[in-house]
Amino acid sequence: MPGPDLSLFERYRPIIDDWSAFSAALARPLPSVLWCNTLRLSSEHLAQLLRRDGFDPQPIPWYPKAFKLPPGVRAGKTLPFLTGCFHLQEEVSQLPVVLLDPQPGDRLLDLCAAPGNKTLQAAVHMHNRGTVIANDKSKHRLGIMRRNIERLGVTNIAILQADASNLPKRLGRFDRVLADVPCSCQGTSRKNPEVLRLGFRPGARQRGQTSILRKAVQRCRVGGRVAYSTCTYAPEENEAVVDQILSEADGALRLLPARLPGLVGRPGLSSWQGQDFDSSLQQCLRVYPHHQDTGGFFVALLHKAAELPKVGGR
Amino acid sequence: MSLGQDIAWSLLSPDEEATTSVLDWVQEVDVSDELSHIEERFGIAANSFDDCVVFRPNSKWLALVNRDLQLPQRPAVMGLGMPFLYPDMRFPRFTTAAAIRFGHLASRHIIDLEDVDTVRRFVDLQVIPLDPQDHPLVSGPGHLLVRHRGMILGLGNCRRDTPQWTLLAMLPKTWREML
Ligand SMILES: C[S@@+](CC[C@H](N)C(=O)[O-])C[C@H]1O[C@@H](n2cnc3c(N)ncnc32)[C@H](O)[C@@H]1O
Repeated sequence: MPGPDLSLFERYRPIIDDWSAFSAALARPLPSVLWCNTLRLSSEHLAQLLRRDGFDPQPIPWYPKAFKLPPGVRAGKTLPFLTGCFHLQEEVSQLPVVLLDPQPGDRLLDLCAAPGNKTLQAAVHMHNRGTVIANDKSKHRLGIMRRNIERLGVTNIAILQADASNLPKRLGRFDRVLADVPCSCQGTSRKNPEVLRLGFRPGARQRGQTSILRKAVQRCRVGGRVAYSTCTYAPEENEAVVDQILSEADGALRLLPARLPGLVGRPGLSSWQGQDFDSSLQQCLRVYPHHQDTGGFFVALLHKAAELPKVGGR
Repeated sequence: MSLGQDIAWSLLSPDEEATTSVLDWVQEVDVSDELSHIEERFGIAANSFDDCVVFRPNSKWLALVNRDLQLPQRPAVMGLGMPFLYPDMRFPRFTTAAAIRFGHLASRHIIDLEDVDTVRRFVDLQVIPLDPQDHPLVSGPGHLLVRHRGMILGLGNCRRDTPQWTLLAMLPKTWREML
């Protein structure tokens, strides 16, 4: 059977370490990945329940609370799912929360939160303590998040429905901010092959993404952390956005190494199609599907070291 | 501008970045009667929920949220917490979300369904015959917490109006449709 038409991704040939492994991975179905709701049971207990149901859960090396199941397994139709013992979420999509590492008493802002996968992961990671503010502009997608909140039984989340780039100062400051921005979703082609057929205008989303990241760093307290993530390979939506915000911040922001033991990835790019980025952009993380049989993903982890220079309104 | 005016202005100006509390957004509902009923029935201590605020988000149920949330001043909070109790009934009861979340705290009126076929029939809203001898934590009819392999599945209603006891699930349609 011929593999998927990858002409859309030809532009990434120079930055992908092993093109044939990359294209082979894109032709394979995506495994299911789940994380344990540790408010309800331990990951060992969950693995036991799954084995009793005939599954073979394999722990994710960089996140032992999460397990991989073979492609096609309908784990969302099982009693442990219904009773909130676990949540299904693509492996790479679990990265930003693990890197942000929010603590139980923290105040966390998730700017583009629906349908709530990362919000819920953060709420559970924080042991259902502290405050999680989940914002999204889509009412419909927020409805899905509410159902997941009920199933998993978390009580530390408040929901807002607003344009993330327009949120006011009165939101307050946060210890952790997540900007999981809308993107061209190229990294999800194994699950949604239609992205390969959609038109792609490089940079078309850059302005919106930049204003959301700008809001994220404004609402972060000094000493706090911001994670910026996308599920696309496009440097216009990744390094270029982070580079712009770093230069506006004039030293007030610093990139932290987005690395985890047991996780295979590549550093962020320091240039793309003639544009040079700050050399610290290499601290960002690029994950390609052939690295550990996942989707494609990008994360930047920022530390706010000082107040931002005063330009324009906050 | 004089220094005096500056100070007066800063004292009057609200802190734009200050947070608000849950009680600035919702009105707390006193559920001590409901919780003592639940304590009596299931042995779940009423003070297990002291860290939370119970409020009425709609006419159908009461919701539960952590008391210590630090909320924004703006924009308006659209959703808080999870569904907790169906109130105003002779027998107030947990929502399915709350039964699943807090059922592990119960010490009585729990029934274990170990057989997968029986669980399937329970979820399909079929009437399940019960032999009380098999269920030592059940001492009479009424609401029961139903458990399978250590997981609470939700509430069921136990009846004794036939020679045999019966159990019928009280699971909402949306919940059953997920399976
Ligand atoms: C990548 S998805 C978020 C996925 C989510 N973080 C999760 O893990 O479940 C991007 C989200 O951004 C939302 N969105 C798009 N533009 C937005 C804006 N200006 N303000 C707030 N949300 C926005 C979309 O509705 C969509 O839900």
